[in-house]
Amino acid sequence: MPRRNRRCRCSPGACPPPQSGFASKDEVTTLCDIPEGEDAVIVEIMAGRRLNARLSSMGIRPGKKVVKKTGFWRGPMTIEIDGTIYALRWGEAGKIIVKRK
Amino acid sequence: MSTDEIGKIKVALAGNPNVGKSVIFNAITGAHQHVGNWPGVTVEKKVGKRRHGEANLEVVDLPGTYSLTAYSLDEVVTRDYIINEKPDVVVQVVDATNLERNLYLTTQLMELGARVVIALTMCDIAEERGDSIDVKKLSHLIETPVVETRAYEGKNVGTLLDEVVREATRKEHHHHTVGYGKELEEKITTVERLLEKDVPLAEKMPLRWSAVKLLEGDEEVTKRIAGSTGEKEILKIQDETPFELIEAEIADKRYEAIDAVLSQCHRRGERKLTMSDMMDRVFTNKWLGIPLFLALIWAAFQITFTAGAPLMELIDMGVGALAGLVTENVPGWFGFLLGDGIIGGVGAVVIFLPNILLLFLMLALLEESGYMARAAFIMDKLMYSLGLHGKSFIPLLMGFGCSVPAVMATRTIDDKKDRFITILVTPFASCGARLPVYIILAGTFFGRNAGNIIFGLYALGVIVAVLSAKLFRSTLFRGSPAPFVMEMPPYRAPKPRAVFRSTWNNGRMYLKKAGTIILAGVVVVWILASFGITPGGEFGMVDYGGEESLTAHIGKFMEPLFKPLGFDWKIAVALIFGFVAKEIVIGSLGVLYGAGEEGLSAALASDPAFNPAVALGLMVFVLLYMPCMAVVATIKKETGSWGWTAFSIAYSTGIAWLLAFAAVKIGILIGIGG
Ligand SMILES: Nc1nc2c(ncn2[C@@H]2O[C@H](COP(=O)(O)OP(=O)(O)OP(=O)(O)O)[C@@H](O)[C@H]2O)c(=O)[nH]1
Ligand SMILES: [Mg+2]
Repeated sequence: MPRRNRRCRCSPGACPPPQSGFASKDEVTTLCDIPEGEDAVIVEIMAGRRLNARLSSMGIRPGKKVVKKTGFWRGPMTIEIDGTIYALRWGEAGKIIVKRK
Repeated sequence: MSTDEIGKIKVALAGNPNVGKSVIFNAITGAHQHVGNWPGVTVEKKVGKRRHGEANLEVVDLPGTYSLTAYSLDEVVTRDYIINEKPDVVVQVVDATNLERNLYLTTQLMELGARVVIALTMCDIAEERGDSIDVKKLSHLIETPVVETRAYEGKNVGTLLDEVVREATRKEHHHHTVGYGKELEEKITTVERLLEKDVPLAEKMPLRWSAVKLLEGDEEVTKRIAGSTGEKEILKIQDETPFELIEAEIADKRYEAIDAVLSQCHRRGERKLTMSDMMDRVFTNKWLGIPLFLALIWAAFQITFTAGAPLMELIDMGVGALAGLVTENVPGWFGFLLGDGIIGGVGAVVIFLPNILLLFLMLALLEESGYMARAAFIMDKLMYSLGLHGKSFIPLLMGFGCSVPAVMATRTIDDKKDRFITILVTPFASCGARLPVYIILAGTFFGRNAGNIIFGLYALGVIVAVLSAKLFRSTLFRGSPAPFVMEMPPYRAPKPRAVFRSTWNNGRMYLKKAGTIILAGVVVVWILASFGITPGGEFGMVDYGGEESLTAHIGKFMEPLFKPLGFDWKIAVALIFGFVAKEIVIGSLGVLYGAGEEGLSAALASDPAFNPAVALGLMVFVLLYMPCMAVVATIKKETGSWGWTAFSIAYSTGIAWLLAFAAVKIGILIGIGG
C-alpha cells in the first residue's frame, strides 16, 4: 500500500479526535473529518487491496462526489454517492481520502 | 434457426444485490422465492422452469454480487455458477437508479464472454427521481439487449424472455470488452498466449477474463492454472505485477467506458430531498436510532401477542369442540388417539396460527420497508464493541422467524470468524416455533404481564446471543470484526401483495409442519404414553400417561437432569421431543395432559407440578436449549463441521440449563414459586 503523509490516518478503533472546527475548505482530509450534511470529492481510497476493490465495485471510488448523511459518533456513518446510500464504519471512513470543495 | 433446435436454454439471473432478481425469478417461474428490500436476501441458487414458445427455459435465481471477485460465500455461489456452469444466457438485472455501478458488473460478465441480456428494474423509482434513460440508445451502445421490466406488476416478462431466447439462439456472438490501454493490453495478450498453450485448460476458462484476473492477482484463478504448461511464466509475470495498481487501473478503465456510454443516454434528475432521506434522518439519527428501534420491536411483539389473542381463543374453542365430539362418538383406543393424541397435540400447535401469521407479518414489514438494513447500521457500534459485525444483526432479526434461513443468511458475512460466531449465536434469537410455548405459559401463569414477559424472553435471547459472541470472540475466534460496508436500500412503502404473500407462505409452512412432522411427533408421544410395562412385567397398553408408560420411563431416566429445575417427567419428555421441532414441546404437553377438550392452559393451571417459577424456568429453557433438528442440519451444512455442530448443541443446552435454574430460583425468591 503506498504510504503518504496524511493529515489524519485513522486505523479502526483508534482515531484522532476530529480537529476543532473541522477541516477548512479545499483541504484534503478523510471522510471522518467532514461534518454531517457536507459533501466532498473522493480523492483516494487507502484501504488495502481487498477492500479497495470491493469499494470500487460498489461504486465507492475516487472522483465521486460523496455526501455525509448521518453518523454515530465514532461508530458507523451513512454516506451518499450517486443517490445510493451506504453505511460504513468510522475505521473504514478514515481510509477514504476526500477533498472538500 | 428452426424452432425445434431451440431445446433447453439455461438462464442465470445475476446482478447487484437488492435489484429485484428474485421478483423477476418469481414472475418468470411462478415460484415463491423470498423477496425483501435489503441486500443479501437470496444466499443460495434456486432453479425454476418455464416454457416460452418453443423453448424450455431453466432459470436460476442467484445471490446478488457487486463483482465477479467473490468476497463472501453467497457471492461465491454466483461466481461459481456463472463461470463453471456456463449458462446460455445471463440475464443481468440492473437497477435503473444506479446504472453506473450496475454496469460495472456487466463489463465483467462481458469479459467472461457470457451472452448478456439486461433487465432494467426500479424504472418507476428512476422516473420519480427525474432521471431519464434512453433505453434504445443504451442497448445500441453496449450492443446488448436491454428490456425495461415491471416484474412486480407482472409486466414485460414476456418481452424479456423473447430477448433471452433470441440471444441464446443467435449463431455468432460478439465478444465485447473494455480496452485497458496499450501497456496493459500487451500484458493481457502475453498471458492469454501462455494460457492457450494448455489446450484442455483453455477450453474450460474464458481466456481474456482469466488473463485479466491473473494480472489482478486473483487467487482462485491462480490456483486453477496450477500444473499447466504456462504456469511458471505466468507466475513470473505475476511477480512483476503490482496487483493493487493494476486492479485500480482496470477498475478505472471500466468506469471510464461506462461513463462514456452513460453520458450519451442517461441524464440524472435534480437531486431532491426525498421521503427516504427524511426518514433516515430520524431512524438513523445517533440519538433517536436505538430508542426508536427498541420501540418498534416492542410494539411489534405487543401486536403479535395481543392482536392474536382473540383469534387464538376462537380456534381454541373450535379445537375443544372437535375433541369433545370425537371422544363422545369414536369408541376405543382410536378415539383416544384421535382425541387426546392428534387433536390434543396438533390442535395445541394449530391454535397459534394467528400469532405466527402476525409475527411473520411484522417481519415482512421490517424486510420490505427497508428498515432491516438500518437495524444493522444502528446496531453496528454496539455489535462492534462486542466483537461482532453489524451485518450479524440481520441473521438475529431473521431468527425471530425461523433459525434455518437465519443461519444461512450468515453467508453474506465475508469474514470466516465473524460468520462462525454469528452462526453459533443465531439460534438464540427466539424463532416462531418457540412462541407458542411462551404464549401458553406466560398467558396461563403471568396474566396481564404476559406481553412483557414474552418481550423479556426475546430480549434475553438477544442478550445471550451477543454476550456469547463476546465470549467466543475473546476465546475461540480472536481478532477484530472485518470492515463494515453495506448498501442501504431506499425506504419503500411495503407492497401489500408482497407482504401478504410472504406472510401467508410462512403461515402455510407452519400448517404444513403441523400436519406432518408435528403430527408424527405427537403420535409417537401418544404411543409412548399409552404403552408400557404392566405390573405383571408384560408389554402392553397401560394407564394413559401413568407411571408405567414408556414416557414415564424416559422422563424418569432424564429426571436427575431436570429435577433441579423443578421440571417433572412430562416436561422432560416434551423437551426431548422438542428437538424434532420446537412446536412439539407444546404438542407433547397437549398429548400428555390429554388437553384436547379443556385446553392446555386450563390443564397446566390445575397441575400442582406447575407454578409461575417453573413456567418461567421452562420458557427460558425452551428459548435457549439446543436448536431443533432442521437447524442442527443447517449448522452442520454451513460450518461444514460436526465438531462445531456438537459444540453448538452442548453450549446452548448448558447455557439453557444454567439460566433456567437461575430463573426458577429467582422465581422462588420473589415468591412466585407456587
Ligand atoms: N419500486 C420497485 N421495487 C422493486 C422493483 N423490483 C423489485 N422491487 C423491490 O425491490 C426489493 C428487492 O427485490 P428482490 O427481488 O428481493 O431483490 P434481489 O435482487 O433478489 O435481492 P438479493 O437476493 O438480496 O440480491 C423488494 O422489496 C422488491 O419488492 C421495481 O421494479 N420497482
Ligand atoms: Mg434475491
